[in-house]
Amino acid sequence: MRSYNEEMKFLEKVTPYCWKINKGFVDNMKVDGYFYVNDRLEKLMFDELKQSCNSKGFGGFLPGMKQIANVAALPGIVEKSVGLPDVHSGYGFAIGNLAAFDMSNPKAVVSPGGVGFDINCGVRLLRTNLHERDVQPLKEQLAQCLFDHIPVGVGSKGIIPMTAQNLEEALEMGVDWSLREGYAWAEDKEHCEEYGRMLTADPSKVSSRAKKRGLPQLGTLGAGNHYAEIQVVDEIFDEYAAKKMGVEFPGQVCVMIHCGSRGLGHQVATDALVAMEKAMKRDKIEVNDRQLACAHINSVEGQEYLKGMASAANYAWVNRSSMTFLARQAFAKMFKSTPDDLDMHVIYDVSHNIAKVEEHFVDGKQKTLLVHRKGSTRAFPPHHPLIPVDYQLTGQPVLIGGTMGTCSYVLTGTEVGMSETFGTTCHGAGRALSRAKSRRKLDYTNVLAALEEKGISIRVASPKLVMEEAPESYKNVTDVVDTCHAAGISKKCVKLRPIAVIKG
Amino acid sequence: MDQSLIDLQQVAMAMFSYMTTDISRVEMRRVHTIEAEGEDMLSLLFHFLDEFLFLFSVEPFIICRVVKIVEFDKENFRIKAEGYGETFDISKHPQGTEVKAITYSNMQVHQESEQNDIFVIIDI
Repeated sequence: MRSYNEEMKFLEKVTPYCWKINKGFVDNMKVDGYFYVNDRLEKLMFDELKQSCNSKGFGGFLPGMKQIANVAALPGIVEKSVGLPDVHSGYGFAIGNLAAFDMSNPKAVVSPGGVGFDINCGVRLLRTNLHERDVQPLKEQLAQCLFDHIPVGVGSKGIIPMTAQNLEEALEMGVDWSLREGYAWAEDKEHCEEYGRMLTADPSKVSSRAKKRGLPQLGTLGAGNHYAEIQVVDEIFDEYAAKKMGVEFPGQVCVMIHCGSRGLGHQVATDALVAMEKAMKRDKIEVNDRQLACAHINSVEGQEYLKGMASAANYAWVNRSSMTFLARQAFAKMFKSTPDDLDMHVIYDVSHNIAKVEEHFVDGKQKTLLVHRKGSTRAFPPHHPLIPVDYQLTGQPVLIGGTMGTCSYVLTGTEVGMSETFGTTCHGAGRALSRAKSRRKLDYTNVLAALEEKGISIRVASPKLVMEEAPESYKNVTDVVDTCHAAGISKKCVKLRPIAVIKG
Repeated sequence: MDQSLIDLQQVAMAMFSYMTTDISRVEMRRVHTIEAEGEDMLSLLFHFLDEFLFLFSVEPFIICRVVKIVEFDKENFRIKAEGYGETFDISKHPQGTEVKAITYSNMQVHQESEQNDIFVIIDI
């Protein structure tokens, strides 16, 4: 194993906000790796590498840089493997990693690790016409009401009645199912990626194991870093774009929901990983990390995964729609009004764990690529045909959830991002400390007290684990979005700060 | 009992201990048997844990306080194990966090070392 100084020889800073990982950093790299950081984030990345060099690879996590490089060694990868500013150690792919594969290359692969276990985990932002001063007096009751409405935490069960037949339809239809059942508004669809429904879904490619895990969990938030937050607009950077999103004034109240496809998605990913391990032996595909199991895009395993993944993505949209419904009900009840009169529209809904077939320019030629976004968000520029009419002039809204007690951001997509990072930017803060380290270093009572001091109401299913989600455990989300903004891969639009948090 | 068996049992129990913040509240009222097989030690470990995760994730949602390996075929990488526990009930068991999946990421089994270290990263 190489020493830290030897590893450094493969790394070079190419712009004030971007480092390059040269071929040779790990075996078989087909393209170079790149990652975006500012000075503070840079230190965290290099610490990760140092730590792994010091322990000589005995146990622990693989550093994000190694993972970006391992992805660069996958067959059929185009141009580069990219780490966004929130990049950190993940499983196979780094979290905050992006890689595109050439659909016209028969050797190119699809990798479930490039999507992650929580398929179509994403963020949705709802607006209201309420002002912070309308909500302040009712804040505690409102937080409690949301907590009572939305099932959270490990072992909680959904309250939206579901049968096995309903589930099949939901997997096929995504938000269209929610619309038909009366849980969503027609306008919600317009403001989701893919209009909330991947047409490639085929529920018959989802195993019965996955369906069994998914059935009781529909309409549940989950645990870990998932949350529902009541936020207020803190600062508007781009008034024109904000207006297009219905964000009119500082102090305006919004609701942010962060969740994914629950056990159904986790099982679809696990099933594919196991199936692909076998296919790799048959097709003689070699990878640097067993968690990077993959299959040729056009192989049976590759196609079945993509159809199963699309079904799980639809499940995630139904899940976010169900929680939107519950949040609208909670607000209507508290303010003795209707969700309609409270103007509770979906501003946008992003997917930050997904693989999609997209058209991009590579060396001046248009190519069809399978873009894997693991903990990274699509950020298409103005005038892109795949973004809704309302955002044609502003670029796609990108929702960046912060961590418990910190601010969140809305960004917009840019042309620079389209050409440099396949129309992709960061997805959140990104972990800085492992969960074990957070538990050793922080005390949960202090974390809760700090939130109270900031005037943030919190309802949490497992209070003894909140230190794992404390702001200290994460990178600073402002550093992350500032780096994206400075590098030009997305543009700051609105900053939001939380006043109430509901989490697992 | 073989040390490697004791350690494997510990890995499974460590996973269950993450799902509640007080594992001592779990009563051993039922026993469930799982079977797992792999092609090598790492895939056996993966499937062994995945079966227990599945036991927890679907009806009747069993959380185990104790895991016992009753059969271990080292040649063919097969395990039969029993989990002693009960249905996870959020009104009785303080919620811990959710395990999404077992991963192969930097998975290591050091059978040659004295401590017999096993490393598994789970996605939570």
